[in-house]
Amino acid sequence: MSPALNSREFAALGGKVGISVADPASDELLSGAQEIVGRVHSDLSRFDPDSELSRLNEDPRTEIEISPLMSRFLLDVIGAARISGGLVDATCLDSLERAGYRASMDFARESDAIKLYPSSELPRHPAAPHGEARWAEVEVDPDRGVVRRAPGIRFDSGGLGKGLAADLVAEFLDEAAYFSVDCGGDLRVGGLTAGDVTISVANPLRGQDPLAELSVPAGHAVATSGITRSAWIGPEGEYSHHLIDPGTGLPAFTGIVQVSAVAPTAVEAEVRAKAALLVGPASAAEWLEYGGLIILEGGELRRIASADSAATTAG
Amino acid sequence: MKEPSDPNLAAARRNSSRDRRIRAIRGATAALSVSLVIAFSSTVAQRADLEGTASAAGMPNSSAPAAGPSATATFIQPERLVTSQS
Repeated sequence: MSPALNSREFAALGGKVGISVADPASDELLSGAQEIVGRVHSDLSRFDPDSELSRLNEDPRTEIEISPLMSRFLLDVIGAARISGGLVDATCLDSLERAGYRASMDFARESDAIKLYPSSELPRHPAAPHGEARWAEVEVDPDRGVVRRAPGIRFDSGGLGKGLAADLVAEFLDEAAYFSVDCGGDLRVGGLTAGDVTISVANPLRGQDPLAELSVPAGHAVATSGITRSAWIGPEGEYSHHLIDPGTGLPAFTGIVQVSAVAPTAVEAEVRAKAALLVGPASAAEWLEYGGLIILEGGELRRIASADSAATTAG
Repeated sequence: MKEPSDPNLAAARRNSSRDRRIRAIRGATAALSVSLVIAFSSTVAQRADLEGTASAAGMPNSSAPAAGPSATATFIQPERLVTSQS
Protein backbone atom coordinates (compact mmCIF):
# COMPACT_ATOMS: atom_id res chain seq x y z
CA MET A 1 0.00 0.00 0.00
CA SER A 2 1.37 3.43 -0.96
CA PRO A 3 1.89 5.99 1.81
CA ALA A 4 -0.64 8.81 1.98
CA LEU A 5 0.07 12.12 0.31
CA ASN A 6 1.03 14.87 2.75
CA SER A 7 0.97 18.46 1.47
CA ARG A 8 2.05 21.87 2.67
CA GLU A 9 1.47 25.35 1.19
CA PHE A 10 3.13 28.60 2.26
CA ALA A 11 4.07 32.05 0.98
CA ALA A 12 7.64 32.44 -0.31
CA LEU A 13 9.65 33.57 -3.34
CA GLY A 14 7.15 36.34 -4.06
CA GLY A 15 4.22 33.98 -4.39
CA LYS A 16 2.83 30.67 -3.24
CA VAL A 17 4.84 27.49 -2.77
CA GLY A 18 3.21 24.06 -2.57
CA ILE A 19 4.98 20.80 -1.73
CA SER A 20 3.47 17.32 -1.58
CA VAL A 21 5.21 14.14 -0.43
CA ALA A 22 4.18 10.50 -0.13
CA ASP A 23 6.66 8.87 2.21
CA PRO A 24 6.62 7.35 5.70
CA ALA A 25 8.77 10.31 6.86
CA SER A 26 6.69 12.92 5.02
CA ASP A 27 6.34 15.33 7.97
CA GLU A 28 10.10 15.61 8.41
CA LEU A 29 10.70 15.78 4.67
CA LEU A 30 8.14 18.57 4.26
CA SER A 31 9.78 20.54 7.07
CA GLY A 32 13.21 20.09 5.48
CA ALA A 33 11.86 21.09 2.06
CA GLN A 34 10.19 24.19 3.50
CA GLU A 35 13.46 25.12 5.16
CA ILE A 36 15.28 24.85 1.82
CA VAL A 37 12.74 27.15 0.15
CA GLY A 38 12.95 29.55 3.10
CA ARG A 39 16.73 29.69 2.78
CA VAL A 40 16.54 30.40 -0.96
CA HIS A 41 13.93 33.10 -0.28
CA SER A 42 15.93 34.84 2.45
CA ASP A 43 19.37 34.59 0.79
CA LEU A 44 18.40 35.37 -2.82
CA SER A 45 15.82 38.13 -2.32
CA ARG A 46 16.78 41.41 -3.97
CA PHE A 47 14.09 43.21 -2.00
CA ASP A 48 15.67 42.53 1.38
CA PRO A 49 18.71 44.78 1.83
CA ASP A 50 20.21 42.30 4.29
CA SER A 51 19.99 39.27 2.00
CA GLU A 52 23.22 37.78 0.66
CA LEU A 53 22.15 38.75 -2.88
CA SER A 54 21.55 42.40 -1.92
CA ARG A 55 24.88 42.56 -0.11
CA LEU A 56 26.65 41.01 -3.09
CA ASN A 57 24.96 43.43 -5.50
CA GLU A 58 26.14 46.42 -3.44
CA ASP A 59 29.63 45.12 -2.68
CA PRO A 60 32.32 47.37 -4.24
CA ARG A 61 34.98 44.66 -4.17
CA THR A 62 35.87 42.58 -7.24
CA GLU A 63 36.33 39.29 -5.37
CA ILE A 64 33.77 38.32 -2.74
CA GLU A 65 33.28 35.31 -0.51
CA ILE A 66 29.93 33.63 -1.11
CA SER A 67 27.89 30.79 0.36
CA PRO A 68 27.45 27.40 -1.37
CA LEU A 69 23.88 28.41 -2.21
CA MET A 70 25.05 31.63 -3.88
CA SER A 71 27.73 29.65 -5.74
CA ARG A 72 25.11 27.37 -7.18
CA PHE A 73 22.80 30.26 -8.08
CA LEU A 74 25.58 32.16 -9.85
CA LEU A 75 26.66 29.03 -11.72
CA ASP A 76 23.05 28.72 -12.87
CA VAL A 77 23.09 32.39 -13.92
CA ILE A 78 26.21 31.82 -16.01
CA GLY A 79 24.86 28.55 -17.42
CA ALA A 80 21.52 30.14 -18.34
CA ALA A 81 23.22 32.95 -20.24
CA ARG A 82 25.66 30.59 -21.92
CA ILE A 83 23.12 28.09 -23.25
CA SER A 84 20.70 30.85 -24.31
CA GLY A 85 23.38 32.84 -26.11
CA GLY A 86 22.96 35.70 -23.64
CA LEU A 87 19.18 35.98 -23.96
CA VAL A 88 18.43 34.79 -20.42
CA ASP A 89 20.65 37.33 -18.69
CA ALA A 90 20.22 37.83 -14.95
CA THR A 91 22.67 40.74 -15.00
CA CYS A 92 20.01 43.02 -16.55
CA LEU A 93 18.82 44.20 -13.13
CA ASP A 94 19.49 47.87 -13.93
CA SER A 95 17.14 47.67 -16.93
CA LEU A 96 14.49 45.87 -14.89
CA GLU A 97 14.60 48.58 -12.24
CA ARG A 98 14.45 51.35 -14.88
CA ALA A 99 11.30 49.65 -16.21
CA GLY A 100 9.77 50.15 -12.76
CA TYR A 101 10.38 46.85 -10.92
CA ARG A 102 12.36 48.23 -7.96
CA ALA A 103 10.43 46.80 -5.05
CA SER A 104 8.27 43.79 -4.30
CA MET A 105 4.95 44.23 -6.12
CA ASP A 106 1.44 42.92 -5.65
CA PHE A 107 0.80 42.13 -9.29
CA ALA A 108 -2.88 41.43 -8.61
CA ARG A 109 -3.25 45.14 -7.84
CA GLU A 110 -1.59 45.95 -11.16
CA SER A 111 -4.21 44.01 -13.11
CA ASP A 112 -5.45 47.18 -14.83
CA ALA A 113 -2.08 47.38 -16.59
CA ILE A 114 -3.29 44.80 -19.12
CA LYS A 115 -5.63 47.45 -20.59
CA LEU A 116 -2.47 49.23 -21.77
CA TYR A 117 -1.04 46.18 -23.56
CA PRO A 118 0.50 47.60 -26.73
CA SER A 119 -1.54 47.37 -29.91
CA SER A 120 -0.65 44.45 -32.14
CA GLU A 121 -0.12 46.98 -34.91
CA LEU A 122 3.07 48.10 -33.20
CA PRO A 123 6.25 46.27 -34.29
CA ARG A 124 7.30 43.07 -32.56
CA HIS A 125 10.81 41.73 -32.83
CA PRO A 126 12.99 38.99 -31.35
CA ALA A 127 15.08 39.95 -28.35
CA ALA A 128 18.88 40.11 -28.61
CA PRO A 129 21.74 39.60 -26.15
CA HIS A 130 23.37 42.55 -24.40
CA GLY A 131 26.26 43.91 -26.44
CA GLU A 132 28.72 43.70 -23.55
CA ALA A 133 27.77 40.18 -22.35
CA ARG A 134 28.51 41.20 -18.75
CA TRP A 135 27.53 37.73 -17.54
CA ALA A 136 30.67 36.37 -19.26
CA GLU A 137 32.80 38.44 -16.87
CA VAL A 138 31.44 36.61 -13.83
CA GLU A 139 33.70 33.85 -12.48
CA VAL A 140 32.62 31.51 -9.70
CA ASP A 141 35.00 29.26 -7.79
CA PRO A 142 32.68 26.99 -5.78
CA ASP A 143 35.58 25.18 -4.12
CA ARG A 144 36.96 28.41 -2.65
CA GLY A 145 33.48 29.93 -2.23
CA VAL A 146 34.39 33.04 -4.18
CA VAL A 147 32.91 35.06 -7.03
CA ARG A 148 34.88 37.51 -9.14
CA ARG A 149 32.95 40.12 -11.08
CA ALA A 150 33.37 43.76 -12.02
CA PRO A 151 31.81 45.98 -9.36
CA GLY A 152 28.48 47.25 -10.59
CA ILE A 153 27.38 43.94 -12.12
CA ARG A 154 24.24 43.10 -10.18
CA PHE A 155 22.05 40.00 -10.32
CA ASP A 156 18.29 39.42 -10.35
CA SER A 157 17.22 36.11 -8.81
CA GLY A 158 13.75 36.16 -10.45
CA GLY A 159 12.62 32.98 -12.17
CA LEU A 160 16.01 31.29 -11.86
CA GLY A 161 15.72 31.52 -8.07
CA LYS A 162 12.31 29.83 -8.17
CA GLY A 163 13.66 27.13 -10.45
CA LEU A 164 16.67 26.60 -8.22
CA ALA A 165 14.42 26.28 -5.16
CA ALA A 166 12.34 23.63 -6.95
CA ASP A 167 15.47 21.73 -7.98
CA LEU A 168 16.98 21.78 -4.48
CA VAL A 169 13.73 20.51 -3.00
CA ALA A 170 13.54 17.81 -5.69
CA GLU A 171 17.09 16.67 -4.87
CA PHE A 172 16.14 16.50 -1.21
CA LEU A 173 12.95 14.51 -1.84
CA ASP A 174 14.07 12.27 -4.68
CA GLU A 175 13.93 9.09 -2.60
CA ALA A 176 10.33 9.59 -1.49
CA ALA A 177 7.74 7.37 -3.16
CA TYR A 178 6.25 10.48 -4.81
CA PHE A 179 6.75 14.22 -4.52
CA SER A 180 5.77 17.42 -6.25
CA VAL A 181 7.04 20.93 -5.65
CA ASP A 182 5.44 24.08 -7.05
CA CYS A 183 7.51 27.25 -6.60
CA GLY A 184 5.20 29.96 -7.89
CA GLY A 185 4.37 28.08 -11.08
CA ASP A 186 7.70 26.26 -11.59
CA LEU A 187 6.92 22.60 -10.93
CA ARG A 188 8.95 19.49 -10.51
CA VAL A 189 7.53 16.02 -9.92
CA GLY A 190 9.34 12.80 -9.09
CA GLY A 191 10.04 10.08 -6.58
CA LEU A 192 10.91 6.39 -6.67
CA THR A 193 7.49 5.29 -7.90
CA ALA A 194 6.26 8.41 -9.72
CA GLY A 195 4.92 7.94 -13.22
CA ASP A 196 4.37 10.52 -15.94
CA VAL A 197 2.06 13.32 -14.83
CA THR A 198 -0.37 15.66 -16.53
CA ILE A 199 0.11 19.33 -15.70
CA SER A 200 -2.41 22.03 -16.60
CA VAL A 201 -1.18 25.27 -18.11
CA ALA A 202 -2.84 28.35 -16.64
CA ASN A 203 -4.52 30.86 -18.90
CA PRO A 204 -2.18 33.86 -19.27
CA LEU A 205 -5.04 36.25 -18.54
CA ARG A 206 -7.29 34.49 -16.05
CA GLY A 207 -6.07 33.21 -12.71
CA GLN A 208 -5.40 29.50 -12.53
CA ASP A 209 -7.97 28.58 -15.20
CA PRO A 210 -6.44 25.74 -17.21
CA LEU A 211 -5.98 26.41 -20.90
CA ALA A 212 -4.30 23.19 -21.97
CA GLU A 213 -2.46 20.21 -20.53
CA LEU A 214 1.11 18.99 -20.82
CA SER A 215 2.39 15.47 -20.24
CA VAL A 216 5.53 15.61 -18.13
CA PRO A 217 7.81 12.57 -17.67
CA ALA A 218 8.52 11.44 -14.13
CA GLY A 219 11.40 13.30 -12.56
CA HIS A 220 11.05 16.24 -14.91
CA ALA A 221 10.04 19.86 -14.46
CA VAL A 222 7.84 22.40 -16.19
CA ALA A 223 8.19 26.16 -16.01
CA THR A 224 6.09 28.93 -17.50
CA SER A 225 7.30 32.34 -18.50
CA GLY A 226 5.13 35.17 -19.73
CA ILE A 227 4.50 38.88 -19.95
CA THR A 228 0.94 39.20 -18.64
CA ARG A 229 1.20 38.36 -14.93
CA SER A 230 4.30 40.13 -13.60
CA ALA A 231 3.21 43.34 -15.32
CA TRP A 232 2.63 46.90 -14.19
CA ILE A 233 2.13 50.46 -15.42
CA GLY A 234 5.61 51.80 -16.18
CA PRO A 235 7.25 55.17 -15.42
CA GLU A 236 5.79 56.76 -18.59
CA GLY A 237 2.34 55.28 -18.04
CA GLU A 238 3.08 52.45 -20.45
CA TYR A 239 2.49 48.69 -20.14
CA SER A 240 5.58 47.16 -18.58
CA HIS A 241 6.64 43.66 -17.55
CA HIS A 242 9.55 41.70 -16.12
CA LEU A 243 11.01 39.97 -19.20
CA ILE A 244 13.73 42.32 -20.36
CA ASP A 245 15.19 42.24 -23.87
CA PRO A 246 18.90 42.38 -22.97
CA GLY A 247 19.69 44.06 -26.30
CA THR A 248 17.42 47.07 -25.76
CA GLY A 249 17.14 47.04 -21.98
CA LEU A 250 13.36 47.33 -22.36
CA PRO A 251 10.50 44.88 -21.73
CA ALA A 252 10.39 42.45 -24.66
CA PHE A 253 7.46 42.25 -27.07
CA THR A 254 8.10 39.42 -29.50
CA GLY A 255 4.57 38.35 -30.39
CA ILE A 256 4.45 35.62 -27.71
CA VAL A 257 2.64 36.16 -24.40
CA GLN A 258 3.46 32.90 -22.62
CA VAL A 259 5.61 29.77 -22.99
CA SER A 260 5.59 26.61 -20.87
CA ALA A 261 8.65 24.39 -21.20
CA VAL A 262 9.37 20.85 -20.00
CA ALA A 263 12.95 19.94 -19.06
CA PRO A 264 14.89 17.60 -16.75
CA THR A 265 15.34 20.39 -14.16
CA ALA A 266 13.31 23.43 -13.18
CA VAL A 267 16.22 25.80 -13.88
CA GLU A 268 16.58 24.38 -17.39
CA ALA A 269 12.80 24.60 -17.91
CA GLU A 270 12.96 28.27 -16.83
CA VAL A 271 15.75 28.99 -19.29
CA ARG A 272 14.01 27.20 -22.15
CA ALA A 273 10.68 28.95 -21.51
CA LYS A 274 12.28 32.40 -21.30
CA ALA A 275 14.53 31.86 -24.32
CA ALA A 276 11.57 30.59 -26.39
CA LEU A 277 9.52 33.67 -25.53
CA LEU A 278 12.40 36.04 -26.19
CA VAL A 279 13.31 34.69 -29.64
CA GLY A 280 9.72 35.08 -30.83
CA PRO A 281 7.27 32.90 -32.78
CA ALA A 282 9.53 32.01 -35.70
CA SER A 283 12.05 29.98 -33.70
CA ALA A 284 10.50 29.50 -30.24
CA ALA A 285 9.81 25.81 -30.87
CA GLU A 286 13.55 25.13 -31.24
CA TRP A 287 13.92 25.78 -27.50
CA LEU A 288 11.29 23.22 -26.52
CA GLU A 289 13.27 20.02 -27.02
CA TYR A 290 11.36 18.27 -24.22
CA GLY A 291 7.98 19.65 -25.26
CA GLY A 292 5.95 22.65 -24.29
CA LEU A 293 3.21 25.09 -25.15
CA ILE A 294 3.49 28.49 -26.84
CA ILE A 295 0.68 31.07 -26.65
CA LEU A 296 0.85 33.87 -29.18
CA GLU A 297 -0.68 37.31 -28.97
CA GLY A 298 -4.19 36.83 -30.33
CA GLY A 299 -4.58 33.53 -28.51
CA GLU A 300 -3.12 30.98 -30.94
CA LEU A 301 -1.81 27.89 -29.10
CA ARG A 302 1.15 25.95 -30.45
CA ARG A 303 1.72 22.62 -28.77
CA ILE A 304 5.29 21.36 -29.21
CA ALA A 305 5.97 17.62 -28.82
CA SER A 306 9.23 16.49 -27.27
CA ALA A 307 11.94 15.57 -29.73
CA ASP A 308 11.78 11.98 -28.43
CA SER A 309 8.06 11.55 -29.00
CA ALA A 310 8.26 13.31 -32.36
CA ALA A 311 11.00 10.88 -33.41
CA THR A 312 8.91 7.95 -32.17
CA THR A 313 5.88 9.18 -34.09
CA ALA A 314 7.95 9.74 -37.22
CA GLY A 315 9.49 6.28 -36.89
CA MET B 1 24.37 -7.77 -8.28
CA LYS B 2 24.63 -11.18 -6.59
CA GLU B 3 24.59 -11.06 -2.80
CA PRO B 4 27.83 -12.44 -1.29
CA SER B 5 27.35 -15.68 0.60
CA ASP B 6 29.62 -14.48 3.42
CA PRO B 7 27.25 -12.67 5.83
CA ASN B 8 30.00 -10.26 6.88
CA LEU B 9 30.63 -9.29 3.29
CA ALA B 10 26.90 -8.97 2.66
CA ALA B 11 26.49 -6.74 5.70
CA ALA B 12 29.44 -4.61 4.63
CA ARG B 13 27.91 -4.20 1.19
CA ARG B 14 24.53 -3.25 2.66
CA ASN B 15 26.20 -0.73 4.96
CA SER B 16 28.23 0.69 2.10
CA SER B 17 25.10 1.03 -0.01
CA ARG B 18 23.22 2.64 2.86
CA ASP B 19 26.09 5.09 3.40
CA ARG B 20 25.99 6.04 -0.26
CA ARG B 21 22.28 6.81 0.02
CA ILE B 22 22.77 8.88 3.14
CA ARG B 23 25.59 10.75 1.43
CA ALA B 24 23.24 11.34 -1.52
CA ILE B 25 20.63 12.84 0.79
CA ARG B 26 23.27 15.00 2.42
CA GLY B 27 24.63 15.90 -1.00
CA ALA B 28 21.27 17.39 -1.91
CA THR B 29 21.63 19.81 0.93
CA ALA B 30 25.34 20.41 0.54
CA ALA B 31 24.62 23.36 -1.69
CA LEU B 32 23.15 25.05 1.34
CA SER B 33 24.89 26.09 4.50
CA VAL B 34 26.32 23.84 7.16
CA SER B 35 23.66 25.01 9.59
CA LEU B 36 20.97 23.86 7.21
CA VAL B 37 22.56 20.42 6.96
CA ILE B 38 22.58 20.23 10.74
CA ALA B 39 18.91 21.16 10.74
CA PHE B 40 18.23 18.19 8.48
CA SER B 41 20.15 15.76 10.62
CA SER B 42 17.03 14.36 12.25
CA THR B 43 15.47 13.76 8.84
CA VAL B 44 18.62 12.06 7.58
CA ALA B 45 18.72 9.91 10.68
CA GLN B 46 15.13 8.87 10.16
CA ARG B 47 15.78 8.03 6.52
CA ALA B 48 18.78 5.97 7.61
CA ASP B 49 16.54 4.09 10.03
CA LEU B 50 14.09 3.36 7.22
CA GLU B 51 16.91 2.17 4.99
CA GLY B 52 18.17 -0.02 7.77
CA THR B 53 14.69 -1.52 8.02
CA ALA B 54 14.67 -2.12 4.28
CA SER B 55 18.07 -3.81 4.41
CA ALA B 56 17.02 -5.93 7.32
CA ALA B 57 13.98 -6.97 5.31
CA GLY B 58 16.34 -8.56 2.79
CA MET B 59 16.52 -5.93 0.08
CA PRO B 60 19.85 -6.73 -1.52
CA ASN B 61 20.74 -3.33 -2.97
CA SER B 62 19.22 -0.21 -1.49
CA SER B 63 20.24 1.89 -4.49
CA ALA B 64 17.78 -0.05 -6.64
CA PRO B 65 14.34 1.51 -7.21
CA ALA B 66 12.52 -1.02 -5.01
CA ALA B 67 14.05 0.41 -1.85
CA GLY B 68 11.12 1.55 0.26
CA PRO B 69 8.05 0.12 1.85
CA SER B 70 5.91 1.82 -0.77
CA ALA B 71 7.82 0.83 -3.86
CA THR B 72 5.38 -1.71 -5.17
CA ALA B 73 3.74 0.11 -8.09
CA THR B 74 3.75 3.33 -10.03
CA PHE B 75 2.21 6.08 -7.96
CA ILE B 76 -0.89 7.32 -9.77
CA GLN B 77 -0.89 11.12 -9.98
CA PRO B 78 -2.66 11.99 -6.74
CA GLU B 79 -3.17 15.74 -7.21
CA ARG B 80 -4.00 18.42 -9.75
CA LEU B 81 -0.95 20.41 -10.80
CA VAL B 82 -0.97 23.76 -12.61
CA THR B 83 1.94 25.69 -14.08
CA SER B 84 1.57 29.44 -14.33
CA GLN B 85 3.81 32.39 -15.10
CA SER B 86 6.59 32.52 -12.51
